[in-house]
Amino acid sequence: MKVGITGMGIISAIGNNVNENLQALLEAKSGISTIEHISTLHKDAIKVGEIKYSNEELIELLNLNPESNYTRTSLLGIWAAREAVAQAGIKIDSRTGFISATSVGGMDRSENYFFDYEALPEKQKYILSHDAGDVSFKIANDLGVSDFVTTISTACSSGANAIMLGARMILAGELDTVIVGGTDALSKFTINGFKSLMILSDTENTPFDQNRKGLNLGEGAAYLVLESAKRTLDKNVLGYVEGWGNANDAYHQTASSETGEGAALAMKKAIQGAGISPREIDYVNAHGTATVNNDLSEGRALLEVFSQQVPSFSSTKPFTGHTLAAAGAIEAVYSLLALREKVQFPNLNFSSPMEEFSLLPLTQLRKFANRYVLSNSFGFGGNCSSLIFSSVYA
Amino acid sequence: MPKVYINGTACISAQDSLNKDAFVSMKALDFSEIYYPVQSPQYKDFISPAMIRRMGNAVKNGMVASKLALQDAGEPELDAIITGTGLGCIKDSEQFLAGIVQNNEEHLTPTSFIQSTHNTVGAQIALALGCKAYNMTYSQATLSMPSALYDAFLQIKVGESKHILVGGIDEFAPVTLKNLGLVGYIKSKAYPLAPSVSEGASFFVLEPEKKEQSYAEISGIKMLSKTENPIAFVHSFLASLDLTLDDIDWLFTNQSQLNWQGKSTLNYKVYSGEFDTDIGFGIWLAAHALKQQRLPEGHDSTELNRILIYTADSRGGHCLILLTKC
Repeated sequence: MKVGITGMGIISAIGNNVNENLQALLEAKSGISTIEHISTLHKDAIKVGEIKYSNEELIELLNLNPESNYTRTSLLGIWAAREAVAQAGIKIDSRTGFISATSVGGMDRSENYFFDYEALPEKQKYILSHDAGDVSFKIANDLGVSDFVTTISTACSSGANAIMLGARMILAGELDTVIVGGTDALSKFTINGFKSLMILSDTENTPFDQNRKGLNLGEGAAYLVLESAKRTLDKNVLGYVEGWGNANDAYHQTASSETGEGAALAMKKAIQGAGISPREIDYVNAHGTATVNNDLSEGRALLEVFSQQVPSFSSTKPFTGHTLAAAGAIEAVYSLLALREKVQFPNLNFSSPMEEFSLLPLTQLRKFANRYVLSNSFGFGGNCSSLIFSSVYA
Repeated sequence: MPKVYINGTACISAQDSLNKDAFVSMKALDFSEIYYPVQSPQYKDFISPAMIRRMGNAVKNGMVASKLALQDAGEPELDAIITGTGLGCIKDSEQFLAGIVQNNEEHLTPTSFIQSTHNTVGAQIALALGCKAYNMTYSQATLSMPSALYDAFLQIKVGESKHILVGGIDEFAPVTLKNLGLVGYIKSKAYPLAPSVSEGASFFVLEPEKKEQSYAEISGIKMLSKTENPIAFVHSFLASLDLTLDDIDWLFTNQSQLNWQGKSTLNYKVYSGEFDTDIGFGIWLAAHALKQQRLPEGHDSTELNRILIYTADSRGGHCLILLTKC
């Protein structure tokens, strides 16, 4: 048993809190839709996992000052972090840190005014909320954390990496409480970026399917509260971060190696760190973005790590879309729910297995008393991360 | 617990910092300009011309500085590559955004999008080395590089790693310069007294082994996001190392007015210009000062045992790093 988790919070396309997300997962209700809050040429050519609140609605619901320069990324982050902290029932002190993750940062606002600020003095406040650091400072200030605050930005593995650093700091006695996770909002920048890479699907994403066409971008935020052994003594622990691993594919800036070497290394590190054998993993929440490249690479890596006997696995991205830096954190929450609720979630939209190997994701909700759940997050730059969560009964 | 030694360095900055001895005769920037470019290395000695054309300054400088730091450390096989960057590859971000606006979201090429992710420098270094080890990138304004350093420091202290490459990189781009100048965050016509900016890449190889070539020991590092009382912060940091301010010979800082009990203070920003990871220059300077037992012209150095680096930023972030002669 490594590091205890005492709180979690989330906002995604399938719900505004943990319970709503859980209900949607149990009812196989996806949150993929057509984009409403961003005007883009590609509106009808893509599907997204969008949160249906406008920024103004989020500011009001969060009781924040509308004159300030909150970016959507920071609003989503504040929303989820508050839920996690409330559940954990913690008192923020000098032994409390905040580690977040983002790739969009404040670009969701600045992309609208970037070249026009001179003519828009009332929007100039967003100049200083552009960077990744501002998002985390805004969330930390909202929570009252003034000690260790940082942001990890390693594309799609960022959220998992934030959880990893937090766990390490708790184990090393550097902090007693740390709020960890990530947040990313939809933006024209990322929509166009992924479109130019030709990996956006115009239909709902189909991970591990032979006919998969690409990913659906999503937005959201999720945070966990990790605490030291002495602070979890008299608390309701949701589960444990039991193992972790980060490795680099060192193959290409965006594509994963055909063999999924980086992914396999990360998974092996996590399993080794957890002190268990691969066959003790009951369920894998895969990265499963439904790009041609990722699912092939991840599939191969799974087969290698589990010596062809891959446990039950699914990607939950058909529910939420690919939430970039938030993905590792959102999927950590789903892994904890799998442990607590004793279920394994389905990989929606699946019909035809991939030709390259015989790997069948779960297509229906499965009841199972998981002891160990593995969650994968792989990002651009070959950044591969895996986390293992264990049940309180493990 | 193992100690943490700086066993390799390389710094690309507005000064002639690739030349190890040049720091003694460094001249402060005159701050008449808004932006000071770095004194560039010969990129083609390190990177193919085709790649140079496609790379922004952050990636180019990061690639070269990391290579040189590794060479300086004797090319160890790395257990980790950890970088910090405040704005990331902002030039590529601007380019991609300009493309979106100018072309109305059509016919965009992905190159500048791909290169705009914050971990591009770290990823390119790993790719060039074929290094599959732990690879992390931090982006937290002026705490970006301290975060990277802290991660490395922790890994070595707990015995997880033995050879870590740590770097801080930042670059500027025209529209960002203009926008930051509009709000007086950096120098502009409207705000002539705001800081002048520059760019740079500072890389270090950290190891638990003290060697002939070791520059200094990193004795401690601590970050806070907010404090009402920086003096209390420094006292408690030093106390945790069984030290007091009396044990510190020089204070290196990014603050222009700092007076802590009359301690000898050097504002390294007058040499490096301002950017989120300028602390990398400060660390480079302190490491070399401790190794060579001398300081830049105009600063008296009798004995140099301990240099304390302190940075703070109005957006948030206070950092203390203690470097000790070894």
